[in-house]
Amino acid sequence: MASYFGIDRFFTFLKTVKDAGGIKGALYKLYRWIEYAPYYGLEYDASQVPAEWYGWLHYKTDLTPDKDPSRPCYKWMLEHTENLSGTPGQFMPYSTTRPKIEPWIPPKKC
Amino acid sequence: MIVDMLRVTLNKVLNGAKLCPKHIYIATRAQSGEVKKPEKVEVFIDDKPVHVEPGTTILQAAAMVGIEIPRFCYHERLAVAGNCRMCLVEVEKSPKPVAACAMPVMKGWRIKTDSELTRRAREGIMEFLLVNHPLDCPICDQGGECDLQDQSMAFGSDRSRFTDIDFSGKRAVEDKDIGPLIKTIMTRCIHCTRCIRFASEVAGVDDLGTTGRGNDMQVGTYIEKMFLSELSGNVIDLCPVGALTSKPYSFTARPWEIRKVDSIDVLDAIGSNIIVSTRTGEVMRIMPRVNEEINEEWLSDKSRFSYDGLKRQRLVTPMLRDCNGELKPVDWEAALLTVAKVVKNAGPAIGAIAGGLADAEVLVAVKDLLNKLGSEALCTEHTFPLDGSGTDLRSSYLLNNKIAGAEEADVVLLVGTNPRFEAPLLNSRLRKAWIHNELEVASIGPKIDLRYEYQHLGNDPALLQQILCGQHEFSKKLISAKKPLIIVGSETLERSDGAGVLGTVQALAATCTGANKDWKVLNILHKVASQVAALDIGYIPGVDKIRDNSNLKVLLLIGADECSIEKSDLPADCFIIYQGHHGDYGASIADAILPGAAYTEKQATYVNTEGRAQETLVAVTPPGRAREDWKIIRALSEIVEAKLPYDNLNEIHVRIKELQDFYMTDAISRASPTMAKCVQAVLKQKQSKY
Amino acid sequence: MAGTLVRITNLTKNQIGAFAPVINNGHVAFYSGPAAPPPGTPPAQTKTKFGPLADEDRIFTNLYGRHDWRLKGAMQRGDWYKTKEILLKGSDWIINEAKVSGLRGRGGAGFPTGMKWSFMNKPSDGRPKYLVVNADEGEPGTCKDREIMRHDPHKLVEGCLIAGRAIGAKAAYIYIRGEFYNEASNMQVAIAEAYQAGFLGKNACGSGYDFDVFMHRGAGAYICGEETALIESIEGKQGKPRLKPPFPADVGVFGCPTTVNNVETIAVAPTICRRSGAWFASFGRTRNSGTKLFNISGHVNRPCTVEEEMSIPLKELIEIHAGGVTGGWDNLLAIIPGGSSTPLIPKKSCEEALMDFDGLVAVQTSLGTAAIIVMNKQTDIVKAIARLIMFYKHESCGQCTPCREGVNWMNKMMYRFVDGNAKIEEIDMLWEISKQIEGHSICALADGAAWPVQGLIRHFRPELEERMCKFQEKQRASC
Repeated sequence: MASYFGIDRFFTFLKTVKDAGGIKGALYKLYRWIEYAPYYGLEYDASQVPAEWYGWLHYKTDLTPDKDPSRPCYKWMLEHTENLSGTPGQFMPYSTTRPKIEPWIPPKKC
Repeated sequence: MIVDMLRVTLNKVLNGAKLCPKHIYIATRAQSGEVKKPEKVEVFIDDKPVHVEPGTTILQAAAMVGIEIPRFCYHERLAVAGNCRMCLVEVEKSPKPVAACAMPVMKGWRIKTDSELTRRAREGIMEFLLVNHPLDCPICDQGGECDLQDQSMAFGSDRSRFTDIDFSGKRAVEDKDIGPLIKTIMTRCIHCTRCIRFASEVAGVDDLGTTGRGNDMQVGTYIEKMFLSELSGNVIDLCPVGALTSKPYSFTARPWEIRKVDSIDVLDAIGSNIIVSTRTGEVMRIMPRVNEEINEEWLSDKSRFSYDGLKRQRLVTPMLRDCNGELKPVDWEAALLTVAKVVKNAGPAIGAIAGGLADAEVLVAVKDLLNKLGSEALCTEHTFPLDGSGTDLRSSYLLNNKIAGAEEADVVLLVGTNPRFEAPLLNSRLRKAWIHNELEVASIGPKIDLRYEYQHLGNDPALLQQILCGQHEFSKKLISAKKPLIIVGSETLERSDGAGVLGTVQALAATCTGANKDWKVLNILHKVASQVAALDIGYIPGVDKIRDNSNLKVLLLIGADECSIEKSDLPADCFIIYQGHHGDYGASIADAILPGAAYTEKQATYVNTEGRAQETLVAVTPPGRAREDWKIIRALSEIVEAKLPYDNLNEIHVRIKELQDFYMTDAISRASPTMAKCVQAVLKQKQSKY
Repeated sequence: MAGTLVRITNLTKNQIGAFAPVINNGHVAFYSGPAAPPPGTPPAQTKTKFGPLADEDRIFTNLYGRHDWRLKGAMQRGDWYKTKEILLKGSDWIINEAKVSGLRGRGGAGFPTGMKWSFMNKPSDGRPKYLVVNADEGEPGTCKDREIMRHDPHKLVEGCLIAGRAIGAKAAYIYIRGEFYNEASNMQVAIAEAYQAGFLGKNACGSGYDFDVFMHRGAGAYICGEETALIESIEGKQGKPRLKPPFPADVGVFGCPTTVNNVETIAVAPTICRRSGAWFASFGRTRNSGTKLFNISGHVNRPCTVEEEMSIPLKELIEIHAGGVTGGWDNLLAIIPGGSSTPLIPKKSCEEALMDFDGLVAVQTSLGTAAIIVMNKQTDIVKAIARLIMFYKHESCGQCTPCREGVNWMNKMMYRFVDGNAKIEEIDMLWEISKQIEGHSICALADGAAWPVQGLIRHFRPELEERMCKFQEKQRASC
C-alpha cells in the first residue's frame, strides 16, 4: 500500500510505502521511492529528482520540502536542473584561443 | 638622385662595366690591352688548385672548391660592400688578411681559409660584432635562422672577455618605424648595409641609408617615413641578424617548429617560387625560393604578406540558399544533391566562368564536365581579344621572351602596363637591365613611377600606329634595336579597343625582329595566375558568351570574384553555383556554395604568364569541410551521371597533358607558334566526331 | 687626415713587389736588389750629416707669410718661372725628375711619387684622368698644408699644373678641409689669378696643354683625408673609403683614373723640376731624400712649422727650431713624431731617432706627416693617448666592423685606464684588441687608432700597472 507524497515542479511523482509488510515491515522502516512522470518515458534518471527532496528520500527527515519551515530559501538559489551531459544542452567550455580560420558569414538580406 | 649617380658614374663612364669592382677591374684591364683573351688563372685554396676566370673573387673561387667563407655583408645579388670584414682570409705573402668578397684572385695565390691568421681575424671580427649586439636571442624572431648566431658558433671565440659590460654596457639604438610590414630592432643591427644596397640597387628606392658615423652610425630612413617599395619584404630575408624582421610574423613561430613546403605563388601571373612555412595546420609565413628563371630570390610584398587573408573570409562549409533567400550551411550530401539536380535539369544550358585563382586541374575538370553535358560556354573572367589569331596560337598570349630574358633586352616598350605593381619581379629585372645593360624603356599608357627612367610617349593608343608607320621618333630606336621587347599589359587588351591595340602591336613586333631569330619581341603580361592555363585548355576569354545566353539555367563560378558578371546580366531563374575558397562577390550572388581549397591547401598546377607550368603542394589541409576543387567537380559529375574518367591526381595530370600536349615538355617548343598550332589541331581532332 | 693612410712602411720589400702588379699591371717592383740601377734611380748616398737647411735651399720661401702671397709676390720668389718650358719637356721628363728626386708622398704613407705618377701613364681608354690634391689636413698636430695654402698658394697651383701634365690629367681637384676658410679663400684667389694670367685654363702657360683647377671644400671629416673617402666626398657621397682594388689609378673620381697627392708633394714639384731632381735628392738619406716641413707642437718653448732637411736628428730639430723642450731635454717624457696616428717614442729613442721614413721605422714608429708632438714629464701620458683615441672614435666613419666597434671599445678601456679602473690582464687584452683592429679594416684609419695605443703599452706599461694598483688600493681603503 503506497501513498502519494508530493509532486515536484517537474511532474515527478514521489511516493512512499507506509505499510509494506513482510521483511520490509520488520525493518520498521517506511520505503520511499520515485515514480517518474509518464512524460519522461524511459529517459529518466536520478538527476531529475530535485535536490530538496534528497533529505526526505534518503530518510534524513520525514518532512517533505513543502512542509519544512526551516528549509532555507535565498534568492540566489537556482532552480534545479537535471544533468544534461550527453544532450545538446550539455556544458561546453568555450575556447579562449583565436580561431585559426574565420569563416565567411553570408550577408543578411534586409 | 643617387639612382642617377649609380647609372651615370659607373655605367656611362665605364662603358657598361658591371657594378661590382671585379667587373670594373676586368674592364679596365681589358681596355688597357694587357689581357686580350681572359685566360684561366690557377690559384690554390687551402692547397687545392682551382682554375678560375680572371677577376673572380677569392670568395667565389673558394666556393668552387666547396669552401664557404663566412660573410655578413656580401650577397651575390648585391654590390660588394666589403665592410663586415668577416670574410678576411690569409693570402700567402700578404702581410694583412684580405677581404675575400672583394679581392680578385691573382695568378698563383695561395689562399689559406683555415690558417691561424684567418681564424684569429674572424674571431676578432666576431668579437667586435658581438660587443654591441644585444644578447636577446631568446626573444628574437631571427633566433634559429640567424647568420650571426650560426657564425659565432662556427667561427667565434668560445668565451667572452667583454669586461666593459660592467662599466658602460652595450649600445642601444632607437627603433625606426618603416611601415606595417617590417619590424625594426635597430640595436641588433650589425651595419652590413645589405638592406640599403637592396633598396637602392634592386628596389630602386633610395629610402634607406646610414646617418651618423663611427659607433653612432645608424641604418634607417633619413627622416621618419615608410619604406615604400613593392619589394620591401626582401630586406627581412637579407638581414643577417634580427634587426629587420617581419611584423605580421613577429612572435608567432620559431624556425625549428615550423614545417616548410615548397610551393608556387598565385597572386600575380609571374608564378614566383615560394616556401610556405606552417605550424599546427596554419600558414605562418611565406618566403621566396630561389628560381633564377622567375623570381631569383626575391618575392613581392603582396605574395609575401597576404597569407593572413587565407585565414579570413573563408568558405568552410557548403551552403544553399533557403526559401527566405538566405545562405544556410548544409552538408556536402545535401549540397551536391541539390546542385546535381539543378545541373541535370539544365542540361546543356550551363555555363562556367573561371576566376583568376583557378588551377589547371579544376579548369580541366569543369571543361570535361560541361562538355559531357553538351555545353561549350566556358569563359574566363579576364578577356583577351579574339580577332586575328586569337588564342589559337599560344605565343599570342604569352610572355614569350621569358622573365629572365628581359635582362638581355636593349629597348623595351611597355604598352598599357605598370609592371611595378602587376609583376614587381619583372620590373626588378627591367631595372637590373637598365642599370647594367643600358636598357632604354619607353611606355605608352598612364604616367607611372617605375623606379627607373623611361620615356613616356603618351597615353594614346594611336601612338602605336604612329610608331608602326615610322612617324614617331621612337620607331627608329625600336627598329634599330638588337633585342627589342614589347610588353603589353593584359589590362589594355581588355579595353574596347584592345583588339586594335593587339593587332597594331603584333604588326609592330613583326617589323622589329631584332638581330636574333630566337628573340621574341611580343610579350603579353597577364595579371592573374589562371589565365594562361585557362586559355591553354580552351576557355574563351571574356564573359560575353555567358552574358549573351538568354536561356542559361546554371552558371558555375570557379572563384570568379571580379564582378565581371552581375545577377542582372543573367536570366532570372539562372541558378548560380560558386565554387571557391573565399566569400567575396561571387559567393554573395550564389545560390549554392561549394567550398574549395586555396593554393596553399592543394596540389595543383598553375601556368604563369610565360607559359611555365608549376605545381603547388599541400602545406595545410583545407579548412572545415572545404575540399580540393577538382575533386568536388569529380564528385558532382558522378551524381549528374556524367562521370569524369579520373580518380586521382595522376590521372587528371594525364588528362591535362592530353589537352596541352607537348608544350609542357620544353621551353622552346612551348614558345613555338608551330607547336601551338599542332596542339590546337590535335584538340580539334579530338573534339570532332570523325 | 692628410693621407696618413696606406702606410707601406709596414710592408716588406717582396710584399710591395707582390702588390705592384695589382696596382700597376706588372710594373717593376721597386727596391728589388742590387742590380744595375734603372733610370730614375736616385744617386747613392754620400752624406753623413743632415741639417740644418741653408736658406737658399728652402722651397717654401714664404712659409711665415712675411711677404706677398699673391701672384706678383709669388713670381718675385720664382714661382711660375719657365713653367712653359717644363711643361713642354713632357710627361716622361717630369716623372723621371720626380723619380730621380726620390720624392716620397708627404701625406704620411710615403709612397714614391714618381712611381705613383707613372701608374697613370697607361694608354687612354677614353676616360679623362684627374689629379686630386688632398688638402684635407686633419691629422692632429699637423699644420703644414695650411701654411702652404695660406702663404704660398701659387706653389700648389703651379704644382697642380706640372703634376697634371705628368699624369696627363684634364683637371685637378683640390679637396680642401672645410674648416680652412682663409686658406680656401687664398687658394681661390690664387687660382683666379693664375687663370687671368693665362697660366691655367685653355693652353695653359702657352704650352698648348689644357688644364683646369677646381676647389672643393669638404665638411671637416677626418676620414675624408683618406684618398678613396675623399673621392667619394668629391662625388657628393658620404665620405666612406672604397674598397681597393680597384685603385684610384684605375677607377677614381667619377669613375676615371685618378691620382691623389698631398699638398706638400704637389707644391714641391715645380721646384724639383726647376732645380732638378738630383738637387732634391742631395738632401737626406737615400730613399728618404728631400726637404720636409716639420710641425713641432706640444711642450716646446717655440712651437713652429719649419722646412728642414730630411734625416735631421729629432733632438737637433727640436733644439734648433723649437727652442728645446719645456723644462729642458731631461724633462722630456715622450714624442709622437708623425702626427697623432703614429706610435709614441720614449725619451731614449728620441735621442737617437733620425727624422725620416727609415729612421723612425727603426724606432718602431713612423714619419707620418712629420708633425712632432712633444710631451714633457708633466703630461698625463695615458690621458693624452686616451684623448687621441676619443678623436679616432669620433672620426671613424662606421663603415667596417673593426674600426666602428673596436675603436669605441678601446676608447672606453683607455678612459678606464686613465683612472686605473681596470685589471692588469686588461692591458694585454687592450693590446690584443688593437692588434685585431690593425690591418683588418678597409682603410688605415683603424690602424692609426690602434698604433698610439700600441705605442703606449709598449713603452709605458709600468705606468699603466701602477695606476691600476693605486686604484685598487684606494678601493680597498674605502671599503
